Amino acid sequence: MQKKRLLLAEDDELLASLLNFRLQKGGYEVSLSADGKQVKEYLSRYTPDIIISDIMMPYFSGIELIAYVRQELNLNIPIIIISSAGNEENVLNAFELGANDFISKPVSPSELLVRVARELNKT
Amino acid sequence: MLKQRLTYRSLVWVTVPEVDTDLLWTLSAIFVLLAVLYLISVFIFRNRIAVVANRIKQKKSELAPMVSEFLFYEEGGDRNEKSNYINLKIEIRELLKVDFDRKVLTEILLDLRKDVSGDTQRKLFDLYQDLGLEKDAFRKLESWRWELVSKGILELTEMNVESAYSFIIKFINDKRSTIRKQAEIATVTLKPEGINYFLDSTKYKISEWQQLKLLDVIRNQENYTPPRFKNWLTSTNRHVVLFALRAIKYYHQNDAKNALIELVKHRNNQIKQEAIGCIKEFHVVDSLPVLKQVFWKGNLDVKIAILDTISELGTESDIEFLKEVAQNSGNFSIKSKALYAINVIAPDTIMPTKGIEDLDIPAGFSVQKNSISTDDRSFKEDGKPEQDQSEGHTNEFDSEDHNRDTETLKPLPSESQSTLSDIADESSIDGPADPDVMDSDMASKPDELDIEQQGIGVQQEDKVTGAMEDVVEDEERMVSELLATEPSEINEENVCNAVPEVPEVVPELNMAPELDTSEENYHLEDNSLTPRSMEQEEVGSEDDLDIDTEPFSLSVEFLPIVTDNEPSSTKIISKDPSMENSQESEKNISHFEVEFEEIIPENEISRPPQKSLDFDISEIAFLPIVTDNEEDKETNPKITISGGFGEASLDVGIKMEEAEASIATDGKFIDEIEKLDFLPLVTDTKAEDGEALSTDEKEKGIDGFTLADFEVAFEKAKEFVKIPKDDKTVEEPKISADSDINSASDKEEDVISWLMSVNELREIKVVYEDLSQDEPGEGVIHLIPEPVYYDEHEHYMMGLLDDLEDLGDHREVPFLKELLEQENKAFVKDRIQRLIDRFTKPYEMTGKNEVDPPKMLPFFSVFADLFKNLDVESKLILLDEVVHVGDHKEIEFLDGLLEDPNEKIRKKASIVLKQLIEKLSKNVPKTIESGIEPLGAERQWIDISEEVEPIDKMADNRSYQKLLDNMEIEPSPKSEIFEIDFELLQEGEAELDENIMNLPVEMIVVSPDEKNILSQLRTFPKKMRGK
Repeated sequence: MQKKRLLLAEDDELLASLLNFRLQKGGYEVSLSADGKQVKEYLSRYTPDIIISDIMMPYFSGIELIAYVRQELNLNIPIIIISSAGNEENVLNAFELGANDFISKPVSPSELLVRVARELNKT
Repeated sequence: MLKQRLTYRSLVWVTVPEVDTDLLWTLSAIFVLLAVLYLISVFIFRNRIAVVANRIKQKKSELAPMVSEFLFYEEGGDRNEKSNYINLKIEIRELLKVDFDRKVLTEILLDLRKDVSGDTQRKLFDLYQDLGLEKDAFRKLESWRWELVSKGILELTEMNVESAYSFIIKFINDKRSTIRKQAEIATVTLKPEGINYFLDSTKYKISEWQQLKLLDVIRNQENYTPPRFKNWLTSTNRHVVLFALRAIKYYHQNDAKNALIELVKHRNNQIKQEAIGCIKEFHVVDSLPVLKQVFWKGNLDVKIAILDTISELGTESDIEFLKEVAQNSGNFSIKSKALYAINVIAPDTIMPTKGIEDLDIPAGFSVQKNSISTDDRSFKEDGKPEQDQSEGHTNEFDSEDHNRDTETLKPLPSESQSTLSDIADESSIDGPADPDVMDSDMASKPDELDIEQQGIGVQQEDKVTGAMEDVVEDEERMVSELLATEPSEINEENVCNAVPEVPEVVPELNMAPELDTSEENYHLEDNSLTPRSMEQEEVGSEDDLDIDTEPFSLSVEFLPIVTDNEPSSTKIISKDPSMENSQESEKNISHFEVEFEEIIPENEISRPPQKSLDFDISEIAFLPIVTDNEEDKETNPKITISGGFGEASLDVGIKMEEAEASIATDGKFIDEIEKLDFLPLVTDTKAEDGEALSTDEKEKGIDGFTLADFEVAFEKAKEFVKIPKDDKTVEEPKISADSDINSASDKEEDVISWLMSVNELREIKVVYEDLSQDEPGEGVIHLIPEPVYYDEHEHYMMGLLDDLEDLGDHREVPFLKELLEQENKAFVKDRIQRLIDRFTKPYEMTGKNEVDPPKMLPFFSVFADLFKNLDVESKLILLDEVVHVGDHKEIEFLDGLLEDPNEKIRKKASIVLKQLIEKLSKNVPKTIESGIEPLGAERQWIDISEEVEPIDKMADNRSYQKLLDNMEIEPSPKSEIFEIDFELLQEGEAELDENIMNLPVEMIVVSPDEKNILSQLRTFPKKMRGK
């Protein structure tokens, strides 16, 4: 069975590495992007099954990413947003633009895994 | 030089310092050098910092996957994963030896701690401690540098190292504030009881910010039960009291009523304020008198807080105080708050007057053109006129530097219901602010309306002079301007301040001959209750007279609609079911209606609840064995037992049959019964005796049975009634049940009662049959064995036989037979015979199986020693190896590890034990198939009894001699060397010894050269003497 492809856009290297490890262990093929540029570059080449993105990213925020995916690329892939607490306004914006789910920092990797699986099952 | 001279000469008036240019050059060079050095050093340091940062970054990226591997390692993983994990552990242990790596690893864990939550965070904490990184933090605590200590505390707090608690609490009263604050947070974070310790012991100030942080910490703790913070209201540290008050408010701990009231009297205004806040929050009505008392001593904030609280908790009785405050206080905010409070307690008392236009007033309403806005509101206290006409200008308003005495006084008949006519604006009328209110007021108080109308009548008769009109117009203008500038503040103070010219008119006003003192209209002047003069009312305008003739034809849409939704405005507003409610709730507790359901037993009280027979027979070993011989098993017999805990009924029922069936099929039950051999055997002989049960008894089945209905027989009575001396066996006492209780003798009754008391069968009626009807007097005395006195030989023989009985086996049979032949005494012979029977029978019947198996020595696991000095990680690794290289010897060792204090080791040991047992169980059949004797627990021990047959020494000697002859060997002379007694060792034991012998022993050879100086010196004199 082919592994589901997952794009993880997170600028915090440590957290990205941790989540990457957990998601890979959970059976996903994970691609890491440290900033918006890399995300764009990746999306121009590949279409992942799901995107997990931090809201605060260099060059290209998570909100912009959602807008880019939904409006420019017209992709309907699930997008899960990671945001720090107290950033409710951004989260609301993200949902308005078409984010599928939201998880706040500090992140529980196990919870993230469950959410990813749920979103993929929906599709 | 020439140039220099020329220069000097040309500029004589300039005093050039006579410094040698070489020196200047030298200095310049030095400065340049220093600058270069500085730049180089900056460059170097910057580079170094960058290099270190890069190195840390690289290291982090290198270590992060390792950390992830540790965090998400699952024990149920495959072999590769496990081996990777072990390799990683080894690798990380190596890394930990380097300070830099350890520092980076700590940083990673601290960073990740902020980003992850849940189970991963918990694992992170565990990993931090497993790797021993907390030791570095502990080392930091010992530093003299405050920043290092603070960092150490922070690290231990963030990584939730609970063991650091006792170390950190020492810093709570540290002189260095940063350390102290860090320690406070740590103390509260690490343990739930930390807050108690902190509040008990802190001596220093707790800043506001720190208090917020502390509250935040305890607020975010999971499953946190806050302590009763009222305990710290008595603290000598006022900051602790303040914090406790805030915590009380936050956690709604409304059990500190009296303490809160006391704290209102505290010197510190901040504490006062907090206490008032709590009082307001918890609706401590009892505190109102104290609040009023404290009010005048408090600062502005306290006063406002008190007024706010009174507005929440106060009743009509407090309005008087509020009026007093409104009158006496010179502060705008306080007055405003007091008026607000009055309106909250008694709504509609104070009406808006700001921007009210001068309109035609219908007949029946007083028009007070000259009255002054809100502050003109008058209050009647105790229904008496506050001031008479002559006192009108000497009211409190004057004392508050507001020289405005414009009105004469009129008493108000009602204090709380200031009618609309009281509310006057200079530029407007005191007309009905709200028709609804007006209606209601009038409807409820027709008398007041009448009075007003009377007043209006008086007003109509009076005329105001033109000069007065001018003055009033000026006054109006000024007030309206003022109100326009401060629209939100409808305050008497400002208004009063704005009309300083009014006093000039006062004499005239006061001298007005017509004065309606019965008029209820008062108006408040700067919160003072000043009756309004008739003249001033007349000043209203002449138009008012016309208006009076038009009842209720005004358009009052511009006025705010004030509705009275509450049926009673005097009702205490109670928002929070706090203390008052809590008191109520306490009362209500006693008023709970508790419905007691009467439980009527189906049968009589003596009939206990039924209980099934699902019990272990061994648990009722104290009971007599009851067997039912009745043929008719259809009825479910019940044995009613009365014990200390009430009655219990054992529903034997059908299960009795099952039990019997199980007895037949399984000897287990019989064995258990045999263990109860001390008890009498009770059998039911009714059926045998042919006694028919009465109809009642039949109906009630077994319930009506007592032990008297059963036959009781002592099965092994023989053993204890036997009297060896007479070599007679007493006839077994057969005790059968009998209904005649009275037939038992007194002594027997004692025995029975004892038995019953021992067995807690007080209500079981057990009747024993008389053993000898002929000798009723003897009773059971004959059952007691008489003492036996042995002579020397008998004593020796009995001792010998005792030993043989304990230690001997079938090999003693020939010897016993010899003894039997030699012995004369019958009882000794009997004893010997019994021993022979005992030793021969089992051997004949079961052969070797009856022989006691050789006792197994404990196995020795090589892992046990290794485990002694290892850390947890190494133990876990070693346990993995046990599965691969271990055998049966490790089972006991692993079993012991199941009780290890470390949970990980326990779990691991459990898993390894299972795996090892599986492995061994798989290996056993293979070895059997391959003909190899299995080792370990399954090992077949050598049965010594089987191999050691009576040796025919002669035959042995003969064969030995024959062998020597054949070999043509002459036997050597008899030597003691060969007379060695060999002991037969069990095979397992031998192997055990072999194992022990094969253990690697590290031998240390100390050569003479390596001796230390001391020993050489010690041996030197000996050597000298030897030489």
